[in-house]
Amino acid sequence: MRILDIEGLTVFYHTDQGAVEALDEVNFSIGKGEIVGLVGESGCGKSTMGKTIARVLPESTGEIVSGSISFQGEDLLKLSEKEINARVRGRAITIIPQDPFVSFNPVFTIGTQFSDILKYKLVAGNRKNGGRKNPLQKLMHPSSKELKKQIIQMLNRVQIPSPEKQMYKYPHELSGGQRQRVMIAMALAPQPSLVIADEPTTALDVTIGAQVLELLKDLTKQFQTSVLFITHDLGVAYDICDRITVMYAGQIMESAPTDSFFKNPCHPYTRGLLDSLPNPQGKIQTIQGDIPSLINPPKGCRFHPRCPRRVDECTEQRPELKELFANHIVHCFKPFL
Amino acid sequence: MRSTAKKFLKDTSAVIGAGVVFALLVTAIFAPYLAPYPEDVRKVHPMQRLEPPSWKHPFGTDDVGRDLLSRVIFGTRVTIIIVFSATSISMVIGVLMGIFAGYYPGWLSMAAMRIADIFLSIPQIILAIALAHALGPSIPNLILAIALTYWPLFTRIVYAETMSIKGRLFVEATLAIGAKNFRVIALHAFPNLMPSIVVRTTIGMGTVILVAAVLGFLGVGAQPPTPEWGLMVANSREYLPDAWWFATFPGMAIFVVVMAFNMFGDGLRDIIDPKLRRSSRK
Amino acid sequence: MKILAYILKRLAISLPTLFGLILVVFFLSRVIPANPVITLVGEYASPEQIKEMTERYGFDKPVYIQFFQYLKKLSHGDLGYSLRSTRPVMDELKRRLPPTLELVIASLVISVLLGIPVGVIAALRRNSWLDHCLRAFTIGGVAIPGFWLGIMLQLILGLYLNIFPLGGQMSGAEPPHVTGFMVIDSLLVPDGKLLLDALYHLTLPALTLSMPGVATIARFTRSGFLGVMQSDYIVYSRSMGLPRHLIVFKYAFRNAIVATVSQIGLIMGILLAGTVVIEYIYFWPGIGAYMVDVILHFDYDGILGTTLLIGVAFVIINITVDVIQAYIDPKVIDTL
Repeated sequence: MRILDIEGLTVFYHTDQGAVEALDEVNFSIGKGEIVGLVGESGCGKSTMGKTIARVLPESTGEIVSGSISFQGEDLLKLSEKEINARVRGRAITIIPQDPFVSFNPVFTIGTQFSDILKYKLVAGNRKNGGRKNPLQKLMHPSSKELKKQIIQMLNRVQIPSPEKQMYKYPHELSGGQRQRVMIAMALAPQPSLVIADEPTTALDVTIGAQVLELLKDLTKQFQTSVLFITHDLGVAYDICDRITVMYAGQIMESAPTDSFFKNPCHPYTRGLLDSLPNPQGKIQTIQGDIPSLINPPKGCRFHPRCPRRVDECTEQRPELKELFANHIVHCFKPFL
Repeated sequence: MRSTAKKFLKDTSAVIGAGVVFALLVTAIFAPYLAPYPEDVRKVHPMQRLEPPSWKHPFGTDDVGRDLLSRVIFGTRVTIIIVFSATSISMVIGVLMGIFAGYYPGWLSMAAMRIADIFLSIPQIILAIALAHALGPSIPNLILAIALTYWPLFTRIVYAETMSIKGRLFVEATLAIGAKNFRVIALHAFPNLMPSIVVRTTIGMGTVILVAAVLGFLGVGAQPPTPEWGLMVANSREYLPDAWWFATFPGMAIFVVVMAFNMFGDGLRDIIDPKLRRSSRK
Repeated sequence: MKILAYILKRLAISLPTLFGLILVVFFLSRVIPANPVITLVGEYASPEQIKEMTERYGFDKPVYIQFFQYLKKLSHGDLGYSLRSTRPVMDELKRRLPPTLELVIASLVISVLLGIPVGVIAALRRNSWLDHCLRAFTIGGVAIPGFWLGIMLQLILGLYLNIFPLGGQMSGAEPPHVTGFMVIDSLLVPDGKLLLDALYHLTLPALTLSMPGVATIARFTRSGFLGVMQSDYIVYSRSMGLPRHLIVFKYAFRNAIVATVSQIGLIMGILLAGTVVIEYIYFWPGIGAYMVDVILHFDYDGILGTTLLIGVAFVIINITVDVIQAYIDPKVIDTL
């Protein structure tokens, strides 16, 4: 069952140098309880995806040109800012940001920030149900004792020691790993349907990052929460994701269950990526060429300038979707089989 | 270069500021041709004293009958001379001291920085009043007094930048190849300092004009019959409230000019500063 | 306790600078060509009178000896005698400090109460025509010459419209001096008429003095606020669905205030510098006007005393601002 279904999404950024075509007719979906990895190099559009789903693109430069984002039966792009803020953000969809240090407000304690996120949830969702009693209604105007209990409970869940004391600490007083754990707690406390994790381990040391990943995997599986896991690190994606989707220059290239992805990479770009990982043989393969400018991107498949399997059609049209094996799809005219 | 010029032109207030500054320069240069009564810089017409604004005298006349418009126009000359001289002198002193102190550390440089700190520990204007009065009221002394209060601001910035540049690897490398200290300073340190210096200079010009005006107002700066704006406002006081024009127009001139320099300086800073921030500052 | 140690450390560091200040002012004043004794006794005094005066004030001794004598007196808290008023400098300063403080505090309050809202509104309505007007105001506010603004206000609001008095702290009757602050002393009596009189007299000077303060605070508040709104933690708050009013008024505001407080030192510097001219124009019996007076008449002890006072004032202000910042920005405490 799909909880998120994106169709034909196109997003531009307007800059002094021109319009950057960050996402080009992207189709993408996430199933219930699925951890989907969105993988690609810097600038390929993965962060833009995350921001677009949460509708937090920079107001002055970001523009959603076309497409639809279907979530729990509604098109998110058709909702007003007020509705998204009240019902969706921080409630049905939450985020785990990349750098927990700069994402916490430095002048408030983590307890204050955590309780603010829990406190201000309008129960428009409950109103829609005709006011039926709902465990989530407890979140409506909860007392501070209630909130405190919930926060301590969540902090325990993410293995923060002595949470009653840590609540009153300021962000800079915690370690990087602890901060990210608190972020995970804040992202899961509202019991969301979808968590958007934007490179959550990039800012952490490797060992700490591994712990955080384990934690995230455990908790989301427990709650059956779907996760959009954005990363540039294929190794991390292998560890945690059920399915992996590769993006390049604003276009989806390939999407497959993790095993199938690594065993049978079909898209030339994916092959290139996997080949460029260090391996015991010693040789590191690289992909010739550079990432194209997105102000004047190549026509058709944007990878074609660097693709060893390029044919004429690649330079003119976008390759249509091909489903090669179970759930394994590619956008390519000449995929490896 | 062209893209920075284009960016500057997009900033409306900066362009207006630049325009007014340019108009100021033009007015100062062509003052004798622009002023309706250029002889009124010196000549007095006691019969026409304190006449309100009219077609003949758009700004009215002052206490000895001189056309106020002409005097205000000639005042631009005084202002331009003061601001450019004082700023240049203080820039030269300040920058040299700063580079010297930053590059050759030792008790001499510490002493220099201490002196700069002392000068900065009291408001600039008080120091300027004291110096101007001590040196004796005249325009050259006024320029000197202002320059002497302004140099520490340059020195502080230049000192910090020089120290940071000195630590940069490329300087060590250059010295290692055998380049002489002076060359390093001139070719490498200096160009990196230029942006900060330029910004500080243009922002400071507005302040310099204000200080000069205050000194003129208090009587320790320009002396009569020099058509200095602050002096004119001071003279006007005893004829208030009747001769309102006498106080209003020279003061407005100060306001407009300072505002123009500030807007221009801000615009410059906006295009230079983003580049500045990329360098190794805090 | 850490705070106390910090304060003491800062005070200790500033002593050499203050010493240097007195040194510089002292020697500068002694090397200028004018002779203060002439100022005192007039041009037509006899040579004997001049000699007597010169000896009395110790001007015949070498400069460094004069300096040590001054330091000796200073260590006893004796700031010398004001040549102009023949009163001890300490008394003059004590008499004139409260009016200046009253004026500066009033201006600071006005600057903050007007400046912060203007800055926040301009930031929230970024790039609207309102924002452009307010920004023009912030540039103009620091460009306008204080003496001119003062004269214009005196002209329009004082003479033409006859609302406000033209100068002085009070019109004749004064409340008994408790603090030296006319407003407070009137409240202490309490006497409504005196209070009103004091407030009326305070209005124009405070407005004039606060103009650059309002402009500067508005400017920094605006840019601080805008900067905060772009920051990652605000983006995070938005992404997690916090209501806009909460983000703006609780989170962003708090962060922006931190930035503004760091500018208070700068604002105080502007205000104190402004008192010199404003007090002169409004005949306000404060330190600023005194400073102009002693400088123009070569009143050595007066100059030294006032300079020392101003130097100390700045040291106190800077330390206070830093301490306040430590309280409101938790990160700073660790860096002290």
